[in-house]
Parts: sequence; structure tokens; C-alpha cells
Amino acid sequence: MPPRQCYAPNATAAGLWYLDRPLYPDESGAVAVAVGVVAAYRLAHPIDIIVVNVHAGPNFEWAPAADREAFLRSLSDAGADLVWGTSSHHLQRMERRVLPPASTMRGGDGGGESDGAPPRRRSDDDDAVAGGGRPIIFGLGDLLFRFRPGVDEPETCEEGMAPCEQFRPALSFVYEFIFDLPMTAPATPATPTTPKTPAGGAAVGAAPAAARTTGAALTGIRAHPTAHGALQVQPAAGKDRAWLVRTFRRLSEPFGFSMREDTAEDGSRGLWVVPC
Amino acid sequence: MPRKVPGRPITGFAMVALVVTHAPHSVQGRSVSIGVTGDVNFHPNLTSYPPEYPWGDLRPTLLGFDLLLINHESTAANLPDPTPNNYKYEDPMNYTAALLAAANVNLTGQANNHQFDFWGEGMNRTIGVLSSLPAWQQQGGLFGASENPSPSYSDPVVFRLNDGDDDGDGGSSASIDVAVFSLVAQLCHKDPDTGEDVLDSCTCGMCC
Repeated sequence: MPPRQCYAPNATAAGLWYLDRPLYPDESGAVAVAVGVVAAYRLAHPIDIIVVNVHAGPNFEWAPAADREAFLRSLSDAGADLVWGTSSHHLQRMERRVLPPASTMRGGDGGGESDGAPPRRRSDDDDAVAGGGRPIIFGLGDLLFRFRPGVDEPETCEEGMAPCEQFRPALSFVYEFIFDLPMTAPATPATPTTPKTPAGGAAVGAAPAAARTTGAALTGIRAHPTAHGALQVQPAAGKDRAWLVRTFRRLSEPFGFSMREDTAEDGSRGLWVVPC
Repeated sequence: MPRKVPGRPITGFAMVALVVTHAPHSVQGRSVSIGVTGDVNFHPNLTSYPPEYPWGDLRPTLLGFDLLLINHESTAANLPDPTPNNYKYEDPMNYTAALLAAANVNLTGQANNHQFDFWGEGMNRTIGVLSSLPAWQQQGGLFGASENPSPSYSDPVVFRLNDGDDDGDGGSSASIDVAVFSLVAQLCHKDPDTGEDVLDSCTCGMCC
């Protein structure tokens, strides 16, 4: 399956490649390739946290189709600490994924739970907030968009899904994932595989004297509700906030996550995603 | 009859395209916070407002994250020859960089179905605009960054966050590495009736 190149690399850009094969239905093995990329990276690199952003969709459907579920779950099973699905233009569920007992390279063979799965990484044991699983976001909504898809331009509403007002595309969550570092090991040469060191970024890049961590444990998921207009986003309040919480619970609780109001260490009140 | 837009049945490509836009914070203590958001694009009229304006009262929250990752579902381009998909999301050109910087956005996922609304030239212009940010890198390439793909073809963006204990007192510092991949699977598809290519946004002028 040779890749095709969109634009060439240069001093600052790595170029862009793509597979001219369909992912869904996966008749050409493209899903396996994409998942394999993540799995291979997880196995080969001492990375603490892997985030996989997926342009997942779908738009204006409360439940993703089975092939999309399978793809995102496969990425989680392959070693992604967080699968971050976007582009649905409205809130979809967050799922708590526990590794299936058999293969870690295939997904879609179950729901958000799979009892008896041995944890493959240390953090799976320690991630109290995820209850031994990894979060998969199927959709967050739009943080800031110049119009409300499906509503301000009704022709963008998916066929058969009208009225798209039901999806409240102006409302969204910003999710804050809090990872705790474990105890540090004795200092060893840091050998990040592909460190990125933006100019002026003192906190980024190789740190020769740094002790390497052995993984990070997910210890909290905070949800910041938002509402946007054409020009600006604001924290959601009142009925908008209540709708977001209610919808999150409806969509996510069958898949292992709920949401509750709680107090943070700094004393602030907020919404937290919790296992259920 | 309503059209099924902007999302199509997923039968397209897979690719990776990320843009690192800002240097992340130091890790405070022994934990890191990673903020992830939904789609972002900017109204062209925002050029009449200060760059902080679009983030409203949410801005302090966004500034508090060690890493802020957004899905930038747009281009910073406005060219006369858009792709024929009827959804041409163009941000206010050069002002986009200032808007992103105002929220300390660390990374924009560019792998979505609107990156080629203005063909490859639009994407190039977007990269040019984002390159004006103080700390910027673009990472892409499911299969690598050269004409001869190496075994490291799958490299994601990697952030290394330190705990800031570099005061020379002999104490060790800790660091945490965060790798971010980005995939899109939704650029174009074949019409099931005609077998013809249907463009959502067509990569490099090629499709299906």
C-alpha cells in the first residue's frame, strides 16, 4: 500500500502523506495500518502519554456507527492513552475502554467494557479516574465556530436528522485530562525519539539531566462546559450547562463514564468525568 | 432534500497533519493537564476585535492548561479558486496566528476535511500564517517526511514537558513526554451510484 504525498517536506514542515484507501469499510487494511502505526509507536518508544486525534464524526447522529466505534476502540487498544475524536459538531459520548482479553490490534468486538482484561501498561492499574480503562471521546461539539452547523444553515443538517436544533451545536465541553507523574527513576540520559523543541520553548525538548518517568496515570478528567456565538465562546451556564451534563450522562453512562459536580484541590467547584 | 454535509460517509483517506503553535508550560509539581477541544474556526469579522476576544471568559481556563490541543477545522486562506465542496472555511488570514496565541494553543490538528478547501495552496498559506507564531512546527506524514520513507514514518508530534527544577541545586528534574497523532478519514468518496469521485475536500487535487 504505497503512500501518496501531498506536499513535500521543508525546513519546518514534515510533509503530508495519505493513504488512498478507504478506512470504512476497511476492505484494504487501512484501519490496520493506522492502528498499527500507533501500536508500533507505543511498543517502540518510552513515551508517557499518547494522544490520538481522529477526525471521526459522524455529524448529527447520537450514536456512531459500528465501524467508527471499531476504529476508535482499536486505536485505544493499540496503546492510545486518549483517543480524541472531533468533527461531529455536537456532543457525543466519552467511553471508558478496557482492553479486550485477546488481541490488542483489533477493535469493535465489544462495548466499553471487557471483563478480565489484563492491563497491558502500568498506568492501566493506576488510573483511578478511568477505572482501569482509557477514555475515548467520540465528539465534543464545536468550541468556536462561525455558525451553528445544521441550524444556522439548515441545508447542512443531515438527511433524516432534522431538526438539528436537537443537537445544540453551539454547546460543547473542553475536557481537561490531568495526569500525575510517577516517582522518578534515577537520572538517565533522556532519549526522546522525536523531540520537538520550538524556539523559545524552555519547557520543551530534550532535557539531558532529567529523570525519565515510566508512564503517567490519569487522575482526573474535568469538563468545562462552553457555549459559542459567531464571534466568541463563553463558559456555559444555566440551562445550557444542565443540558450538556444531562446529555453527557445519557450518552456516556452505558459506556462507563458519568459526570458529577465536585470540588477541585484549589477549592473550585466544577464538573468531573467519573467512572460508573 | 438536505445534503449530507459537511460530513460524508467515511470512505476517504488517512493522513496526519498537526501544527504545533505555541511552547507549552512547564509542568507544575508532578502533574500535567492536557486540554482538548472540539472544532475551531474564526469568523472573518474578528479582525475588528482584540485577539483575546473570541475566547471570552473561558480564556483563563485555556491559559491554565499545560497543553492545549484544538481541532482547527479551517484554513487561513481565501483564494479565488476553492474546491467545489461548498464549504470554504477561511479564517481571517494573518490574524489567525494572533487569535491562537491569545489562548496559548499548543497544537492545532489540521487533519480534517477542510484543510484543502483552497487546494494545496490554501494549506501552504495556512502553514505560512501559523509559522509566524513564536514557537511553531508542523508535523505530518503517516508515512514519513521524505521521498524515501524511513522506519520512523509514523512519528507523531512529541512534547517534552519538564517540571522546571533546573535551578542548579543538584536536584533531579522530571519530564513527561506527550505524543500526539492526528488522523483523518473523511476527504472524499465514490458515489455509489455513478462510481465517480465526490469531493469533500480533495487532497492535492487528487481524489479517490
